[in-house]
Amino acid sequence: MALLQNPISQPLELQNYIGGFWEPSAGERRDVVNPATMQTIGHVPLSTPEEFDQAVQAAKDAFYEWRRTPPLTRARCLMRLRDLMEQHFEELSRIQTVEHGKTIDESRGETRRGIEMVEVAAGIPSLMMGCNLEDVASGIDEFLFRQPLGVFGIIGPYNFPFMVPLWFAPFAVATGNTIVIKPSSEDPISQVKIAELAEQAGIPDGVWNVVHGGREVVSAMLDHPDIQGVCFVGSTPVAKDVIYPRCGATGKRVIAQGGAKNFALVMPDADLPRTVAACMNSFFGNAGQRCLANANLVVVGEGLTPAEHAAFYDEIASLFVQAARKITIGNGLDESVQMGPLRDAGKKANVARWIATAVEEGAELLLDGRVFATPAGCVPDAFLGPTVLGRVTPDMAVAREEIFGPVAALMTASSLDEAIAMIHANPFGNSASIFTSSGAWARKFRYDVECGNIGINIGIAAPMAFFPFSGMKDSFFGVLHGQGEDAIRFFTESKVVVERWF
Amino acid sequence: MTDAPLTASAVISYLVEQEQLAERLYRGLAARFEAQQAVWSRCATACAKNQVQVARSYQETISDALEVGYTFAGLSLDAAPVPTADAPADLAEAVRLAIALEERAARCYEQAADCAEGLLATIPRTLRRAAEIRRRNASLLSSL
Repeated sequence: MALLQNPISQPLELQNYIGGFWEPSAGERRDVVNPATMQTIGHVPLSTPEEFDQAVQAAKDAFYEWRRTPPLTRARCLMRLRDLMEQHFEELSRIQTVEHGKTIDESRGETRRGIEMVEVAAGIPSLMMGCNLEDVASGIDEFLFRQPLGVFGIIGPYNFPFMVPLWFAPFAVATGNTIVIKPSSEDPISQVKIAELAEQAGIPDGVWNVVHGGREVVSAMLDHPDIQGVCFVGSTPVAKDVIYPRCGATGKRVIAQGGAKNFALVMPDADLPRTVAACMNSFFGNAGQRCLANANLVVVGEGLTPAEHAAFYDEIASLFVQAARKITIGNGLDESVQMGPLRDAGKKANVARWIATAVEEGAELLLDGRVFATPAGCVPDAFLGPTVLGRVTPDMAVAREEIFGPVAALMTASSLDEAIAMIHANPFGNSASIFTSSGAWARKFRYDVECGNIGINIGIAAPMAFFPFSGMKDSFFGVLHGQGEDAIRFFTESKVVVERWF
Repeated sequence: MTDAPLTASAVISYLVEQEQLAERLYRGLAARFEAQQAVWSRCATACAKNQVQVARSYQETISDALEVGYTFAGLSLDAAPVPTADAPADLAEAVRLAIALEERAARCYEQAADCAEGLLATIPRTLRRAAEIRRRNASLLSSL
């Protein structure tokens, strides 16, 4: 099938967006590479702490006027941004495919999710309302106002270069704060395009800033006295050991979302064809590089004899492998492609090591994604096919650790209780799914499982923009989450006024 | 279509393209058979509306969480394309061709909707509505 047109015709020289101006950086430059073709599509600077400080100063300067801007006016800025995103929908989507590698369907889905964040945040005049009560004591009234705090930092991950910073940015800006976004240096182009649209939308200079960079910029953000809070999505070690404690030490608000190891339970009464289709997307979508991807498929033998359970496992394993084997890998701009490459060759090598470890530990290699035909027009460096591992047990590292690649581990549990216990034994708590036709089993699962996002006959339990993107245990560090009402509370302080007139 | 896997993107692109071709065909027939212009134009307008509705249902529903890459894996789209050559000169032949085209298009939408049922949220509903519109076209053409 012919490729859709690549929106990036020549390498882009990316700049920071500070105080409403595009500024070159003095920092060293890194290549931004399309992982499907290994072509360089841009150069991104690793900005200096001084450049980050300039952005914070610009954001701080803009805050005074912006917080005094009526919420309806702020909302109109977001409405214009939303309209511009719709106008550029296809370009924005294709950029994600080129800079990340995901399929065009996946990129459009990411664009849609991102736009939804802006749409929901545009409801800020209602969302930000406080509350009041007359006569809390005779003749005394009490009011609650939600007030913005100042400058917030947002650190984006590589796996959703467009959408994830939008879990936070529109809500922060809508509530009257100003922001500095540090996109992933691996795929920073989407955030540059959003900033261009924010500029066109009339969001005032200094309200929305972008500073490219790596650890130095993150460090500067965490230590900066004028940053009121940090939103981070990335790995658990960084979230847990760097972002969360440093924000605590410097008195910042924090949303730190980490990694995951998500379980999908298949009950004996599940609709198997639909379950398998949902699982293909859940396990192998985005080449497995997402925190909501399921990684462990647990075939539950609730109510079955051991022989029936074994037969049930064999049936699911067979269907799963058959479906996974048919997945077409290639350049995401080809509409027939179902799975793109990983973000880079290093990530591929890491996933390949996990597959080797699993086999050494005794897992059955039902489908080996390390063996594949190089897709036409592509360079194989970052590609892997889907891998399916059978007879995985909870003690194996592959069942416990986050792999972040297209690898499915098939496991068994004799009962729903045993399967839930397996989930609870895992340190992560991002997401879990159950596939069943039983309301009772689904209700028990929903009620008991200690995970932030639960899917019932849903493989990717991704909360919509008007709900918080939850997470528990080692998948989340903080109190309030991104998106929805949680985000409004995160980005505002509650001020209470008690009033009496003599 | 080739034997390549059918992602949602590929299916929607195909359906929209077929609607565009059908619309163009009917506009040509409306110009050629002026006495029946109202019917041909109505069919063309229906196809134009379907283009918008089908594309919109995809673009407004699609999410990173839906099974867009796999839902249509079992679908076999009707390989017979909409004629792109000049419209037939004979009215009876043109009507026969158009009715067959409408029935084929309706079947195609229904098959796609069956595949998407339960997986792609509001998309199957739009596909079924598009099928109904094409069947109404066929019924209208039968009156000629």
